[in-house]
Amino acid sequence: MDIKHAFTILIVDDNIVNLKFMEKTLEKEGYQVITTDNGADARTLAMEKRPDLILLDIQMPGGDGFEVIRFLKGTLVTSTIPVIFLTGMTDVNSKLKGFELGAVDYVTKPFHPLEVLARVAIHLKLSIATNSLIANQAMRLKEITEAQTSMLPLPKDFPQAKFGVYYNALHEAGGDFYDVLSISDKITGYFVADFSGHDIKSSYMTASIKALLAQNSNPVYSPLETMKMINDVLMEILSKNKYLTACYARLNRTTGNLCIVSAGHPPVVLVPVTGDPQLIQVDGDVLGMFKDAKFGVHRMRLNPGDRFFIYSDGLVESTRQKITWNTGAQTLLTKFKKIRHLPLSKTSSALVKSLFSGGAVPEDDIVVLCVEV
Amino acid sequence: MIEYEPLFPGAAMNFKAMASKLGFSLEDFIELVQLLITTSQSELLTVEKELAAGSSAGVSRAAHSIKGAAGNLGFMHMADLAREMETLANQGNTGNMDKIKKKAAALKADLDLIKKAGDKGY
Repeated sequence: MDIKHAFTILIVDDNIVNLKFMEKTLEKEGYQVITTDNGADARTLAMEKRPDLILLDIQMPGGDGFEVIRFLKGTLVTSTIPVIFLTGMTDVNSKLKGFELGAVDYVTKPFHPLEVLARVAIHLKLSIATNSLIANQAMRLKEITEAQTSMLPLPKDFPQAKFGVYYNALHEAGGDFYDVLSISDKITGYFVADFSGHDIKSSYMTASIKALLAQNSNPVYSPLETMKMINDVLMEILSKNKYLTACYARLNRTTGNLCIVSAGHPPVVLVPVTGDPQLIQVDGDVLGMFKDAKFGVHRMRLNPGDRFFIYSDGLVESTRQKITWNTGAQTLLTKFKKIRHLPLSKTSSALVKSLFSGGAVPEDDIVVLCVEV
Repeated sequence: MIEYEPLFPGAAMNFKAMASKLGFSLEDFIELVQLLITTSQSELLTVEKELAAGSSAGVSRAAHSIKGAAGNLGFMHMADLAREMETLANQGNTGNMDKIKKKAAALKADLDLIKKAGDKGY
């Protein structure tokens, strides 16, 4: 017969009689009990043993209960453990302070064992329900991540598009998105976008953007028209203050013509076979914010072997170091000397690696799309 | 001056009923009572020392401890005495020292009664 997991309760009370009283009360109902008579040990035991619930006296030597709960709630591994105050205090302010600091309940002394047992049981049930909810939400977020990733095309699936990609979402619901569209045999569209925020809504929006791109990218529409049509739809479906920066590049491999449309996005980097890398700075409004948005357009002719990079601001921007993508993009150019001759499949990740080699840590989602003509 | 009635006026101390009320076995309850006696005696010694030193804070702490333990086990008379001692101590009035001493004496008498009852196996 399986023995069910026994819940562990940590009791903290400087009164030995009360401690024993509570220990006996809980042990006879099948709980595993750990006890201590001071706040300092309570902190250590809570971190080491990770009890399912803590019964905590307010007035104790070595830091009162308020200090202990402040520590527990501020410590990652103990922050979710429900804490019930054991208190002789009857004044409302003490109780409110306890709740404010994160206590789930209190028991006023003298307490009756049955009352304590009832309160412990109800808060364990709530804790179980909350943990189950969290596990469920984590699973759903994982599904969103998987769904989001499955929407991103891989180079091996589109060999004619000749691209390499690096994609890393910092959160389960990423805010960056890219797509590669076969408009005709020789014409390919490359799209990179960055949603404001990383919430769940953004992750659902990526599916909408992908559908809009597929509907509005064809040989008849110019890249600018495609972006304008997407903008019109986004104006209807995006919530207020929600927008995205985006870059849409369309390459015709027969003519070598490249058309770049920018919606408030960091500049494309051109790495020609001969000559120095250069930024293609194109100004434009963001997508989904203005009805009559003006997008920047840049047209140029490329040669076989030339490469261009479209990326999200997470590659060059740093809030901590106060670097905006405008200034960050300038430093980007120096990194291409070493990576320009790498195989296409390795270039994007090599670029990211070179930028974050000195201990710097990405602060945002990153997508880097490298395309070869 | 408030004179206190004996701990359990007109009735024998019934540990079995008290244990049952709290959901404990008699054996467990007696173990807790013995612990209460030991710790309360120790706290009363502390009260004496703190009174001699004129420390009302120390008296308050010790009385608070007795109050909680006695109350939880159902010895409400004893808990009330301890609560009154704590209140007097918290007033920080040196004139309260005699009152505290009298209440401590009454509390000690309660403890003796409980101890005797325990010795008789109630």
